Amino acid sequence: MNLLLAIRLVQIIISFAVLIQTIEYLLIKESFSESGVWRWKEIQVELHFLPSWAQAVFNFFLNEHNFPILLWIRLSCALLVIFFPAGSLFLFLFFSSLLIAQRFRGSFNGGSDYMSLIILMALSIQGLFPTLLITKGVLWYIALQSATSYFMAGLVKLKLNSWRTGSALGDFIQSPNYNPPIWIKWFAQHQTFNFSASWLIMIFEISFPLILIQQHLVVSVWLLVAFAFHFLNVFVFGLNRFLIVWLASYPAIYFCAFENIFSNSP
Amino acid sequence: MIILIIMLTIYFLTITIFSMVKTPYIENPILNLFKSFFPSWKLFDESVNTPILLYRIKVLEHFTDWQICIRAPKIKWFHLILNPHGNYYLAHHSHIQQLLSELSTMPDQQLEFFHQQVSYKITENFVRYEMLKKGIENDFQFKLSNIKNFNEKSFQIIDDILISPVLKYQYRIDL
Repeated sequence: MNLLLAIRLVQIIISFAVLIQTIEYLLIKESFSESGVWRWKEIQVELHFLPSWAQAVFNFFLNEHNFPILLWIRLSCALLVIFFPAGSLFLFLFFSSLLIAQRFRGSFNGGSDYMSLIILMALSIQGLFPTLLITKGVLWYIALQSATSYFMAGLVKLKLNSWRTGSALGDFIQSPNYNPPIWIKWFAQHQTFNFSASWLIMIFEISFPLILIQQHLVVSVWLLVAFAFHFLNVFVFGLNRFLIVWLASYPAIYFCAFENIFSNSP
Repeated sequence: MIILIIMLTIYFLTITIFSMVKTPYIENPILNLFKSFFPSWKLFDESVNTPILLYRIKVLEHFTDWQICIRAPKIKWFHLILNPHGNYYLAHHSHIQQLLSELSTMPDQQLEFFHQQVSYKITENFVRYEMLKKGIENDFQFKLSNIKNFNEKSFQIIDDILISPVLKYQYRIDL
């Protein structure tokens, strides 16, 4: 995969992810109206420490009337950027994502919001300064962040006894906080399954950075396993946003795994 | 290639060492504003038993049984792409964890004012919004509890973490 194809694929997939996220926000817009859950009049109080001009900016974009308009513009922009990947459009998507995060007091969907911001920020820089060095740096930044996310997730699990014994996975699946299909719950009733699955997940996550120094078929297989992992997470925990956003980082990983970081060719 | 391997090893070793340090709860509002830029990636490291938001309504002078405010939606194939209500549910789940985190870090002498916190108000809003969707117009009470023996129809409450006073259906006007 060459540099230009890799960056283009990242652009297209993250734009699609932003498009989906925005549609989802619009479908639950009542929940952030003044008769819903996240009422701006209550949340804006938390910004009292900001200078008045900054508060005015947040109030302008995030009030009950303008916030849905911002979402509609974001949706149009995400659609547009799939075909016209301009740096200014990615910059708008990045800033709108920051505003949305603030609207929900930091983030709406945790990890997937963070990864979206990281990729959009990187693509904004690349779009505004599309030199070979910056494009390469951006792909490495995205690949490293993605590898770090798997590595950290695996590391914190490995440190917990409940994950090492497999009980945590079973408890998560059986807990009232999630509602996976019955066949998954059936599997989770078996300690052997929980133990094996937990260790497979931890080994997969912790060893993920090794993908960056592979240069053969292993990379493709590893990424397919990663995709399957997120695919299953949708059915177990409902984490669909993670599937699409992390998928956006895979072209960067694929490029970096095969590309010599110190070469000068595009 | 060797240089790359050495650089990556140093990077991930550094991350491993820093991961030994417990991440403090960020109280500084300015830093909090930028927390999206510093993801910890500590996914699924929280306690399995996140308490559940329960509520009950007052009918005449009696309360109904406690019921779960928002149930995790069933996952369908199309949720692979579009899952607005699932993500709303997950946002509610994250909110409860944030509320508990704030509750556990709040000094004892300030706990009596916890109901003035934005997190508390949002929790109340979750209940009000669910009642609004169901067309319920009664006074109510909510609480956060650990539950067990959960199934579609019933559950057992183990203990309560937070319990609200009886609240009027009419929304407060202290904004």
